[in-house]
Amino acid sequence: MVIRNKFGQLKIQQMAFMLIAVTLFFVLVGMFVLVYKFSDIKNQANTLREQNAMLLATKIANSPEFSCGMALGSGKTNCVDADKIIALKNNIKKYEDFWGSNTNVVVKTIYPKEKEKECTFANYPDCNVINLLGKNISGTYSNFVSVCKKENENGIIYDKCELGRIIVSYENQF
Amino acid sequence: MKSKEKFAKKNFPRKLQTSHEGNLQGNYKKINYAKSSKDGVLEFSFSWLFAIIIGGAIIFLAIFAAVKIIGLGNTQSDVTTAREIGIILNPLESSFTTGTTTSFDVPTETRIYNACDDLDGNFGKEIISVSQKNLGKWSEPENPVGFSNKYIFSENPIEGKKFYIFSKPLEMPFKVADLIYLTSDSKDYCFEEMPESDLKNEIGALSSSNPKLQIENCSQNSIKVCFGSSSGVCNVAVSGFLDEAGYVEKNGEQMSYAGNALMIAAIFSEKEIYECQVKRIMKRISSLAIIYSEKSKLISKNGCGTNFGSELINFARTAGGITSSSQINSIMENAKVLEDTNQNLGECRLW
Repeated sequence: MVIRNKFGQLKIQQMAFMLIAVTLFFVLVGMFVLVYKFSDIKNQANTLREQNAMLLATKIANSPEFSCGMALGSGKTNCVDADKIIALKNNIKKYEDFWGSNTNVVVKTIYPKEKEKECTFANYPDCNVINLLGKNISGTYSNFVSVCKKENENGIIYDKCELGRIIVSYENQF
Repeated sequence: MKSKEKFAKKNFPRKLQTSHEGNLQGNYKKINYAKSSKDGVLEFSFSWLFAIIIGGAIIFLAIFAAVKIIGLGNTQSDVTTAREIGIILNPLESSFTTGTTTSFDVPTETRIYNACDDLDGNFGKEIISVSQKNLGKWSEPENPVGFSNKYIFSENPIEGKKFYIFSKPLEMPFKVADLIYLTSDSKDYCFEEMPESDLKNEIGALSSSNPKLQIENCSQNSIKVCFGSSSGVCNVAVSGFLDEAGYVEKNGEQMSYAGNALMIAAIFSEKEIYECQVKRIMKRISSLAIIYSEKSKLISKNGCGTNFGSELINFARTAGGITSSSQINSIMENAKVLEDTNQNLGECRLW
Protein backbone atom coordinates (compact mmCIF):
# COMPACT_ATOMS: atom_id res chain seq x y z
CA MET A 1 0.00 0.00 0.00
CA VAL A 2 2.73 2.39 0.99
CA ILE A 3 4.56 1.58 -2.22
CA ARG A 4 1.43 2.24 -4.36
CA ASN A 5 0.91 5.67 -2.68
CA LYS A 6 4.48 6.58 -3.52
CA PHE A 7 3.91 5.54 -7.13
CA GLY A 8 0.83 7.77 -7.25
CA GLN A 9 2.70 10.73 -5.79
CA LEU A 10 5.53 10.15 -8.17
CA LYS A 11 3.16 10.16 -11.15
CA ILE A 12 1.56 13.47 -10.02
CA GLN A 13 5.04 14.88 -9.54
CA GLN A 14 6.07 13.66 -12.98
CA MET A 15 2.99 15.24 -14.50
CA ALA A 16 3.56 18.51 -12.61
CA PHE A 17 7.20 18.67 -13.70
CA MET A 18 6.21 17.89 -17.26
CA LEU A 19 3.56 20.62 -17.23
CA ILE A 20 5.97 23.13 -15.71
CA ALA A 21 8.51 22.19 -18.37
CA VAL A 22 5.91 22.58 -21.14
CA THR A 23 4.75 25.93 -19.68
CA LEU A 24 8.35 27.17 -19.43
CA PHE A 25 8.98 26.04 -22.99
CA PHE A 26 6.00 28.00 -24.28
CA VAL A 27 6.92 31.03 -22.18
CA LEU A 28 10.47 30.98 -23.55
CA VAL A 29 9.25 30.57 -27.12
CA GLY A 30 6.76 33.40 -26.56
CA MET A 31 9.45 35.65 -25.12
CA PHE A 32 11.74 34.85 -28.04
CA VAL A 33 8.98 35.72 -30.52
CA LEU A 34 8.20 38.97 -28.68
CA VAL A 35 11.86 40.02 -28.49
CA TYR A 36 12.21 39.30 -32.22
CA LYS A 37 9.03 41.22 -33.01
CA PHE A 38 9.97 44.23 -30.90
CA SER A 39 13.50 44.41 -32.27
CA ASP A 40 11.93 44.37 -35.74
CA ILE A 41 9.62 47.24 -34.79
CA LYS A 42 12.56 49.24 -33.41
CA ASN A 43 14.59 48.65 -36.58
CA GLN A 44 11.65 49.64 -38.72
CA ALA A 45 11.04 52.81 -36.70
CA ASN A 46 14.71 53.81 -37.02
CA THR A 47 14.74 53.01 -40.75
CA LEU A 48 11.67 55.18 -41.26
CA ARG A 49 13.25 58.01 -39.26
CA GLU A 50 16.38 57.68 -41.40
CA GLN A 51 14.37 57.68 -44.64
CA ASN A 52 12.48 60.75 -43.50
CA ALA A 53 15.73 62.60 -42.75
CA MET A 54 17.19 61.55 -46.12
CA LEU A 55 14.19 62.74 -48.14
CA LEU A 56 13.88 65.86 -46.01
CA ALA A 57 17.53 66.73 -46.70
CA THR A 58 16.94 66.54 -50.43
CA LYS A 59 13.78 68.63 -50.42
CA ILE A 60 13.78 70.94 -47.41
CA ALA A 61 15.75 73.59 -49.31
CA ASN A 62 12.68 74.12 -51.49
CA SER A 63 10.23 74.56 -48.64
CA PRO A 64 8.84 78.10 -48.10
CA GLU A 65 10.80 78.72 -44.88
CA PHE A 66 14.14 78.14 -46.65
CA SER A 67 13.83 78.69 -50.39
CA CYS A 68 15.22 81.74 -52.16
CA GLY A 69 12.07 82.16 -54.22
CA MET A 70 12.25 85.07 -56.63
CA ALA A 71 13.96 87.26 -54.01
CA LEU A 72 17.44 86.00 -54.83
CA GLY A 73 17.76 85.35 -58.53
CA SER A 74 15.02 83.85 -60.60
CA GLY A 75 13.62 80.93 -58.70
CA LYS A 76 16.57 78.59 -58.36
CA THR A 77 16.07 75.14 -56.88
CA ASN A 78 18.25 74.03 -53.97
CA CYS A 79 18.89 77.64 -53.07
CA VAL A 80 18.35 78.77 -49.50
CA ASP A 81 17.78 82.33 -48.35
CA ALA A 82 20.10 82.90 -45.38
CA ASP A 83 18.33 86.15 -44.45
CA LYS A 84 15.05 84.28 -44.17
CA ILE A 85 16.62 81.37 -42.28
CA ILE A 86 18.08 83.65 -39.63
CA ALA A 87 14.63 85.24 -39.24
CA LEU A 88 13.25 81.72 -38.94
CA LYS A 89 15.82 80.92 -36.23
CA ASN A 90 14.47 83.91 -34.34
CA ASN A 91 11.01 82.28 -34.40
CA ILE A 92 12.16 78.69 -34.10
CA LYS A 93 10.12 77.88 -30.97
CA LYS A 94 7.04 77.72 -33.20
CA TYR A 95 8.75 75.25 -35.49
CA GLU A 96 9.82 72.68 -32.94
CA ASP A 97 8.78 69.22 -34.22
CA PHE A 98 7.60 70.82 -37.48
CA TRP A 99 9.92 68.64 -39.59
CA GLY A 100 9.57 65.59 -37.35
CA SER A 101 10.22 64.97 -33.69
CA ASN A 102 13.86 65.20 -32.63
CA THR A 103 14.91 66.44 -36.05
CA ASN A 104 17.28 69.36 -36.42
CA VAL A 105 18.28 71.37 -39.47
CA VAL A 106 21.66 73.04 -39.88
CA VAL A 107 22.72 75.24 -42.78
CA LYS A 108 26.46 75.56 -43.19
CA THR A 109 28.51 77.58 -45.66
CA ILE A 110 31.38 75.34 -46.79
CA TYR A 111 33.03 77.43 -49.48
CA PRO A 112 34.87 79.78 -49.17
CA LYS A 113 36.28 77.82 -46.24
CA GLU A 114 36.35 79.74 -42.98
CA LYS A 115 36.46 78.92 -39.30
CA GLU A 116 33.02 77.73 -38.19
CA LYS A 117 31.06 80.40 -36.37
CA GLU A 118 27.48 79.88 -35.31
CA CYS A 119 24.99 82.55 -36.35
CA THR A 120 22.66 84.47 -34.07
CA PHE A 121 20.42 87.40 -34.94
CA ALA A 122 23.08 89.66 -33.34
CA ASN A 123 26.22 88.47 -35.19
CA TYR A 124 24.60 87.78 -38.59
CA PRO A 125 26.00 87.94 -41.33
CA ASP A 126 29.51 87.52 -39.83
CA CYS A 127 29.04 83.80 -39.35
CA ASN A 128 28.68 80.65 -41.41
CA VAL A 129 26.64 78.06 -39.47
CA ILE A 130 22.91 78.41 -38.76
CA ASN A 131 21.88 75.72 -36.30
CA LEU A 132 18.13 76.11 -36.28
CA LEU A 133 17.13 74.16 -33.20
CA GLY A 134 20.53 74.40 -31.53
CA LYS A 135 20.59 70.65 -30.91
CA ASN A 136 23.38 68.18 -31.54
CA ILE A 137 21.69 65.08 -32.86
CA SER A 138 23.47 61.93 -34.01
CA GLY A 139 22.31 60.63 -37.41
CA THR A 140 22.72 63.08 -40.28
CA TYR A 141 21.91 63.44 -43.96
CA SER A 142 22.95 66.40 -46.03
CA ASN A 143 22.55 67.99 -49.40
CA PHE A 144 24.54 70.65 -51.21
CA VAL A 145 22.77 73.99 -51.62
CA SER A 146 23.55 77.59 -52.55
CA VAL A 147 23.35 79.79 -49.49
CA CYS A 148 22.33 83.24 -50.69
CA LYS A 149 21.83 86.60 -48.99
CA LYS A 150 21.57 90.30 -49.79
CA GLU A 151 24.85 92.20 -49.47
CA ASN A 152 25.76 95.80 -49.90
CA GLU A 153 29.10 96.88 -51.27
CA ASN A 154 29.77 100.56 -51.84
CA GLY A 155 26.05 101.25 -51.92
CA ILE A 156 25.37 98.54 -54.49
CA ILE A 157 22.99 95.85 -53.34
CA TYR A 158 23.66 92.44 -54.77
CA ASP A 159 22.86 88.76 -54.14
CA LYS A 160 25.80 86.91 -52.60
CA CYS A 161 25.64 83.14 -53.02
CA GLU A 162 28.07 80.64 -51.51
CA LEU A 163 28.34 76.88 -51.57
CA GLY A 164 26.78 75.28 -48.53
CA ARG A 165 25.26 72.19 -47.06
CA ILE A 166 21.89 71.71 -45.51
CA ILE A 167 22.15 69.04 -42.85
CA VAL A 168 19.15 67.23 -41.43
CA SER A 169 19.95 65.33 -38.26
CA TYR A 170 17.65 62.95 -36.48
CA GLU A 171 17.78 60.97 -33.30
CA ASN A 172 17.48 57.20 -33.10
CA GLN A 173 14.99 56.84 -30.31
CA PHE A 174 15.81 53.24 -29.41
CA MET B 1 -3.69 -8.28 3.34
CA LYS B 2 -5.53 -7.26 6.50
CA SER B 3 -4.50 -3.69 6.19
CA LYS B 4 -5.65 -3.77 2.54
CA GLU B 5 -9.04 -5.03 3.62
CA LYS B 6 -9.33 -2.33 6.31
CA PHE B 7 -8.46 0.36 3.78
CA ALA B 8 -10.98 -1.02 1.29
CA LYS B 9 -13.74 -1.29 3.92
CA LYS B 10 -13.17 2.27 4.96
CA ASN B 11 -13.10 3.74 1.46
CA PHE B 12 -15.33 1.44 -0.60
CA PRO B 13 -17.86 -0.20 1.74
CA ARG B 14 -20.39 -1.06 -1.04
CA LYS B 15 -17.80 -2.50 -3.34
CA LEU B 16 -16.40 -4.56 -0.54
CA GLN B 17 -19.75 -6.08 0.26
CA THR B 18 -20.21 -7.43 -3.25
CA SER B 19 -16.62 -8.20 -4.07
CA HIS B 20 -14.53 -10.98 -3.02
CA GLU B 21 -11.01 -10.54 -1.92
CA GLY B 22 -9.52 -11.01 -5.36
CA ASN B 23 -11.36 -7.94 -6.70
CA LEU B 24 -9.74 -5.54 -4.25
CA GLN B 25 -6.83 -4.91 -6.56
CA GLY B 26 -9.32 -3.96 -9.28
CA ASN B 27 -10.93 -1.40 -6.94
CA TYR B 28 -7.55 0.24 -6.35
CA LYS B 29 -7.08 0.54 -10.08
CA LYS B 30 -10.40 2.36 -10.21
CA ILE B 31 -9.04 4.89 -7.70
CA ASN B 32 -5.96 5.61 -9.74
CA TYR B 33 -7.06 5.28 -13.34
CA ALA B 34 -10.84 5.26 -13.10
CA LYS B 35 -12.77 6.25 -16.24
CA SER B 36 -16.27 5.76 -14.93
CA SER B 37 -17.90 4.72 -11.72
CA LYS B 38 -20.55 2.15 -11.73
CA ASP B 39 -23.17 4.92 -11.13
CA GLY B 40 -22.29 6.24 -14.58
CA VAL B 41 -20.50 9.32 -13.19
CA LEU B 42 -17.11 10.03 -14.73
CA GLU B 43 -14.35 9.89 -12.19
CA PHE B 44 -10.98 11.49 -12.76
CA SER B 45 -7.88 11.00 -10.82
CA PHE B 46 -6.26 14.15 -9.47
CA SER B 47 -3.39 13.87 -11.92
CA TRP B 48 -5.79 13.92 -14.90
CA LEU B 49 -7.72 16.83 -13.47
CA PHE B 50 -4.48 18.67 -12.86
CA ALA B 51 -3.27 17.96 -16.40
CA ILE B 52 -6.55 19.12 -17.95
CA ILE B 53 -6.65 22.38 -15.96
CA ILE B 54 -3.02 23.27 -16.59
CA GLY B 55 -3.21 22.07 -20.21
CA GLY B 56 -6.29 24.23 -20.74
CA ALA B 57 -4.55 27.19 -19.17
CA ILE B 58 -1.52 26.68 -21.44
CA ILE B 59 -3.69 26.42 -24.56
CA PHE B 60 -5.67 29.51 -23.50
CA LEU B 61 -2.45 31.49 -22.94
CA ALA B 62 -1.02 30.27 -26.24
CA ILE B 63 -4.15 31.33 -28.16
CA PHE B 64 -4.29 34.64 -26.28
CA ALA B 65 -0.62 35.33 -27.08
CA ALA B 66 -1.09 34.33 -30.73
CA VAL B 67 -4.08 36.65 -31.11
CA LYS B 68 -2.18 39.50 -29.43
CA ILE B 69 0.89 38.94 -31.64
CA ILE B 70 -1.24 38.89 -34.80
CA GLY B 71 -2.95 42.10 -33.62
CA LEU B 72 0.44 43.66 -32.93
CA GLY B 73 1.60 42.64 -36.40
CA ASN B 74 -1.46 44.24 -37.99
CA THR B 75 -1.03 47.43 -35.97
CA GLN B 76 2.66 47.51 -36.87
CA SER B 77 1.83 47.12 -40.54
CA ASP B 78 -0.83 49.87 -40.36
CA VAL B 79 1.47 52.32 -38.56
CA THR B 80 4.38 51.55 -40.89
CA THR B 81 2.18 52.15 -43.95
CA ALA B 82 0.88 55.43 -42.49
CA ARG B 83 4.42 56.58 -41.70
CA GLU B 84 5.63 55.53 -45.16
CA ILE B 85 2.84 57.50 -46.80
CA GLY B 86 4.00 60.56 -44.89
CA ILE B 87 7.59 59.96 -45.96
CA ILE B 88 6.84 59.49 -49.65
CA LEU B 89 5.06 62.82 -49.56
CA ASN B 90 8.37 64.61 -48.83
CA PRO B 91 9.51 64.72 -52.47
CA LEU B 92 6.24 66.46 -53.35
CA GLU B 93 7.62 69.58 -51.67
CA SER B 94 8.47 71.26 -54.92
CA SER B 95 9.82 74.67 -55.55
CA PHE B 96 8.51 76.13 -58.76
CA THR B 97 7.04 73.20 -60.61
CA THR B 98 3.36 73.57 -61.35
CA GLY B 99 2.47 70.15 -60.06
CA THR B 100 3.98 66.77 -59.44
CA THR B 101 2.33 63.40 -59.21
CA THR B 102 3.25 60.03 -57.80
CA SER B 103 1.48 56.81 -56.92
CA PHE B 104 1.97 53.93 -54.56
CA ASP B 105 0.61 50.41 -54.34
CA VAL B 106 -0.26 48.55 -51.20
CA PRO B 107 -0.21 44.75 -50.98
CA THR B 108 -3.72 44.48 -49.58
CA GLU B 109 -6.98 46.44 -49.78
CA THR B 110 -6.34 49.52 -47.64
CA ARG B 111 -8.32 52.37 -46.14
CA ILE B 112 -6.49 55.60 -45.42
CA TYR B 113 -8.16 57.74 -42.79
CA ASN B 114 -7.31 61.38 -43.31
CA ALA B 115 -7.93 63.55 -40.28
CA CYS B 116 -6.87 67.04 -39.36
CA ASP B 117 -6.39 68.78 -36.05
CA ASP B 118 -6.02 72.55 -36.31
CA LEU B 119 -5.39 73.01 -32.59
CA ASP B 120 -2.39 70.71 -32.13
CA GLY B 121 0.76 72.81 -31.67
CA ASN B 122 1.40 76.00 -33.62
CA PHE B 123 0.49 74.68 -37.04
CA GLY B 124 -2.05 71.96 -36.30
CA LYS B 125 -1.51 68.44 -37.56
CA GLU B 126 -2.27 66.30 -40.54
CA ILE B 127 -3.20 62.92 -39.12
CA ILE B 128 -3.06 59.70 -41.12
CA SER B 129 -4.12 56.28 -39.95
CA VAL B 130 -4.42 53.13 -41.98
CA SER B 131 -6.63 50.10 -41.85
CA GLN B 132 -5.91 47.01 -43.92
CA LYS B 133 -8.07 44.09 -44.89
CA ASN B 134 -6.81 40.81 -43.49
CA LEU B 135 -8.76 37.57 -43.97
CA GLY B 136 -11.79 39.58 -45.07
CA LYS B 137 -11.76 41.74 -41.95
CA TRP B 138 -10.69 45.39 -41.65
CA SER B 139 -8.16 46.09 -38.92
CA GLU B 140 -8.92 48.88 -36.46
CA PRO B 141 -7.23 52.15 -37.49
CA GLU B 142 -5.02 52.61 -34.44
CA ASN B 143 -1.96 54.72 -33.65
CA PRO B 144 -2.43 57.61 -36.07
CA VAL B 145 0.67 59.32 -37.40
CA GLY B 146 0.78 63.14 -37.34
CA PHE B 147 2.66 65.60 -39.57
CA SER B 148 2.82 69.34 -38.95
CA ASN B 149 4.19 70.27 -42.37
CA LYS B 150 1.74 68.45 -44.65
CA TYR B 151 -1.71 69.31 -45.97
CA ILE B 152 -3.53 66.37 -47.52
CA PHE B 153 -6.92 66.80 -49.17
CA SER B 154 -8.99 63.68 -49.77
CA GLU B 155 -12.18 61.85 -48.98
CA ASN B 156 -12.29 60.22 -45.58
CA PRO B 157 -11.65 57.30 -45.58
CA ILE B 158 -10.18 56.69 -48.96
CA GLU B 159 -10.08 53.06 -50.03
CA GLY B 160 -8.16 51.10 -52.65
CA LYS B 161 -5.06 49.14 -53.56
CA LYS B 162 -3.42 51.88 -55.58
CA PHE B 163 -3.26 55.48 -54.43
CA TYR B 164 -2.41 58.55 -56.48
CA ILE B 165 -0.91 61.68 -55.02
CA PHE B 166 -0.31 64.97 -56.73
CA SER B 167 0.51 68.36 -55.39
CA LYS B 168 0.17 72.00 -56.24
CA PRO B 169 1.97 74.92 -54.62
CA LEU B 170 -0.19 77.46 -52.82
CA GLU B 171 0.97 81.05 -53.05
CA MET B 172 -0.74 83.70 -50.97
CA PRO B 173 1.10 85.97 -51.82
CA PHE B 174 4.36 84.10 -51.08
CA LYS B 175 4.64 80.34 -51.37
CA VAL B 176 2.95 78.82 -48.33
CA ALA B 177 2.98 75.08 -48.90
CA ASP B 178 2.46 72.34 -51.41
CA LEU B 179 -1.10 71.13 -51.10
CA ILE B 180 -1.33 67.38 -51.54
CA TYR B 181 -4.32 65.70 -53.18
CA LEU B 182 -4.88 62.03 -52.53
CA THR B 183 -7.11 59.82 -54.68
CA SER B 184 -7.41 56.07 -55.12
CA ASP B 185 -8.09 53.62 -57.93
CA SER B 186 -11.67 53.25 -56.69
CA LYS B 187 -12.91 56.64 -57.98
CA ASP B 188 -12.57 58.50 -61.26
CA TYR B 189 -12.88 62.29 -61.45
CA CYS B 190 -14.23 63.83 -64.62
CA PHE B 191 -13.02 67.35 -65.58
CA GLU B 192 -14.57 67.23 -69.05
CA GLU B 193 -16.55 70.42 -68.47
CA MET B 194 -13.65 72.49 -67.19
CA PRO B 195 -13.14 75.60 -69.35
CA GLU B 196 -10.06 75.54 -71.54
CA SER B 197 -7.29 76.92 -69.36
CA ASP B 198 -3.78 76.30 -68.09
CA LEU B 199 -5.30 74.34 -65.24
CA LYS B 200 -7.11 72.00 -67.64
CA ASN B 201 -3.83 71.44 -69.51
CA GLU B 202 -2.14 70.79 -66.20
CA ILE B 203 -4.75 68.21 -65.19
CA GLY B 204 -4.47 66.69 -68.67
CA ALA B 205 -0.73 66.35 -68.18
CA LEU B 206 -1.24 64.79 -64.76
CA SER B 207 -3.77 62.30 -66.16
CA SER B 208 -1.04 60.48 -68.08
CA SER B 209 0.37 59.23 -64.79
CA ASN B 210 -2.93 59.37 -62.91
CA PRO B 211 -5.63 57.76 -65.10
CA LYS B 212 -8.25 58.56 -62.47
CA LEU B 213 -8.19 62.22 -63.53
CA GLN B 214 -10.09 62.38 -66.79
CA ILE B 215 -10.48 65.40 -69.05
CA GLU B 216 -12.27 63.55 -71.87
CA ASN B 217 -14.17 60.28 -72.45
CA CYS B 218 -15.14 60.09 -68.80
CA SER B 219 -16.26 56.76 -67.40
CA GLN B 220 -19.93 56.40 -66.47
CA ASN B 221 -19.37 56.10 -62.74
CA SER B 222 -16.93 58.97 -62.53
CA ILE B 223 -17.47 61.92 -60.21
CA LYS B 224 -18.53 64.75 -62.50
CA VAL B 225 -17.03 68.14 -61.75
CA CYS B 226 -19.02 71.00 -63.28
CA PHE B 227 -17.91 74.61 -63.73
CA GLY B 228 -20.15 77.64 -63.81
CA SER B 229 -23.66 77.01 -65.08
CA SER B 230 -23.10 73.59 -66.64
CA SER B 231 -26.13 71.54 -67.53
CA GLY B 232 -26.45 67.87 -66.65
CA VAL B 233 -25.65 65.83 -63.57
CA CYS B 234 -22.99 67.28 -61.32
CA ASN B 235 -21.45 65.64 -58.30
CA VAL B 236 -19.24 68.62 -57.59
CA ALA B 237 -20.13 72.15 -58.74
CA VAL B 238 -17.55 74.94 -58.93
CA SER B 239 -18.87 78.51 -58.92
CA GLY B 240 -16.44 81.32 -59.56
CA PHE B 241 -13.51 82.02 -61.83
CA LEU B 242 -10.41 79.91 -62.18
CA ASP B 243 -7.44 81.24 -60.21
CA GLU B 244 -9.75 83.68 -58.42
CA ALA B 245 -12.10 83.35 -55.48
CA GLY B 246 -15.28 81.26 -55.54
CA TYR B 247 -16.89 78.30 -53.91
CA VAL B 248 -17.25 74.59 -54.48
CA GLU B 249 -20.52 72.81 -53.71
CA LYS B 250 -20.31 69.15 -52.81
CA ASN B 251 -22.78 66.92 -50.99
CA GLY B 252 -24.93 69.99 -50.35
CA GLU B 253 -22.11 71.84 -48.57
CA GLN B 254 -20.17 74.90 -49.67
CA MET B 255 -16.43 75.39 -49.42
CA SER B 256 -14.94 78.76 -50.35
CA TYR B 257 -11.63 78.89 -52.20
CA ALA B 258 -9.13 81.42 -53.41
CA GLY B 259 -6.86 80.34 -56.22
CA ASN B 260 -6.58 77.09 -58.17
CA ALA B 261 -4.71 75.12 -55.51
CA LEU B 262 -7.51 75.57 -52.99
CA MET B 263 -10.20 75.00 -55.62
CA ILE B 264 -8.76 71.56 -56.45
CA ALA B 265 -8.42 70.92 -52.72
CA ALA B 266 -12.14 71.59 -52.24
CA ILE B 267 -13.03 69.29 -55.16
CA PHE B 268 -11.17 66.32 -53.70
CA SER B 269 -11.82 66.94 -50.07
CA GLU B 270 -14.58 66.61 -47.51
CA LYS B 271 -15.80 69.86 -45.98
CA GLU B 272 -14.60 69.04 -42.48
CA ILE B 273 -11.07 68.27 -43.67
CA TYR B 274 -11.03 71.25 -46.03
CA GLU B 275 -12.06 73.74 -43.35
CA CYS B 276 -9.52 72.37 -40.89
CA GLN B 277 -6.70 72.42 -43.44
CA VAL B 278 -7.58 76.00 -44.43
CA LYS B 279 -7.22 77.06 -40.79
CA ARG B 280 -3.84 75.27 -40.60
CA ILE B 281 -2.70 76.94 -43.83
CA MET B 282 -3.69 80.34 -42.43
CA LYS B 283 -1.52 79.67 -39.36
CA ARG B 284 1.40 78.90 -41.66
CA ILE B 285 0.73 82.07 -43.70
CA SER B 286 0.70 84.05 -40.47
CA SER B 287 4.01 82.57 -39.35
CA LEU B 288 5.67 83.09 -42.75
CA ALA B 289 4.47 86.70 -42.83
CA ILE B 290 6.22 87.28 -39.49
CA ILE B 291 9.41 85.69 -40.85
CA TYR B 292 9.26 87.97 -43.91
CA SER B 293 8.68 91.01 -41.72
CA GLU B 294 11.82 90.14 -39.73
CA LYS B 295 13.70 89.55 -42.96
CA SER B 296 12.67 93.03 -44.11
CA LYS B 297 14.15 94.49 -40.91
CA LEU B 298 17.35 92.50 -41.46
CA ILE B 299 17.93 93.48 -45.07
CA SER B 300 17.10 97.10 -44.35
CA LYS B 301 20.57 97.22 -42.68
CA ASN B 302 22.00 96.51 -46.13
CA GLY B 303 20.21 99.42 -47.70
CA CYS B 304 17.05 97.51 -48.59
CA GLY B 305 14.66 99.72 -46.65
CA THR B 306 11.41 98.04 -47.61
CA ASN B 307 9.25 99.63 -44.91
CA PHE B 308 7.06 96.63 -45.39
CA GLY B 309 7.19 95.09 -41.92
CA SER B 310 4.01 96.61 -40.43
CA GLU B 311 1.88 95.56 -43.42
CA LEU B 312 3.16 92.03 -43.10
CA ILE B 313 2.44 91.98 -39.37
CA ASN B 314 -1.13 93.11 -40.05
CA PHE B 315 -1.45 90.42 -42.72
CA ALA B 316 -0.15 87.83 -40.23
CA ARG B 317 -2.75 88.97 -37.71
CA THR B 318 -5.60 88.76 -40.24
CA ALA B 319 -4.55 85.32 -41.49
CA GLY B 320 -4.15 84.01 -37.95
CA GLY B 321 -7.70 85.10 -37.14
CA ILE B 322 -9.39 83.16 -39.96
CA THR B 323 -11.94 80.71 -38.59
CA SER B 324 -13.67 79.57 -41.78
CA SER B 325 -13.00 79.27 -45.49
CA SER B 326 -15.77 81.82 -46.12
CA GLN B 327 -13.33 84.54 -44.90
CA ILE B 328 -10.65 83.53 -47.39
CA ASN B 329 -11.62 86.20 -49.89
CA SER B 330 -10.37 88.98 -47.60
CA ILE B 331 -7.00 87.23 -47.28
CA MET B 332 -6.75 86.99 -51.04
CA GLU B 333 -7.42 90.72 -51.42
CA ASN B 334 -4.72 91.54 -48.84
CA ALA B 335 -2.34 89.11 -50.51
CA LYS B 336 -2.79 90.85 -53.86
CA VAL B 337 -1.89 94.23 -52.32
CA LEU B 338 1.21 92.73 -50.65
CA GLU B 339 2.26 91.06 -53.89
CA ASP B 340 2.07 94.36 -55.76
CA THR B 341 4.14 96.10 -53.07
CA ASN B 342 6.70 93.29 -53.19
CA GLN B 343 6.97 93.43 -56.98
CA ASN B 344 7.67 97.17 -56.74
CA LEU B 345 10.64 96.57 -54.42
CA GLY B 346 12.76 95.38 -57.34
CA GLU B 347 16.02 93.83 -56.16
CA CYS B 348 14.97 94.21 -52.55
CA ARG B 349 11.88 92.05 -52.93
CA LEU B 350 11.26 89.76 -50.01
CA TRP B 351 9.99 86.64 -51.81
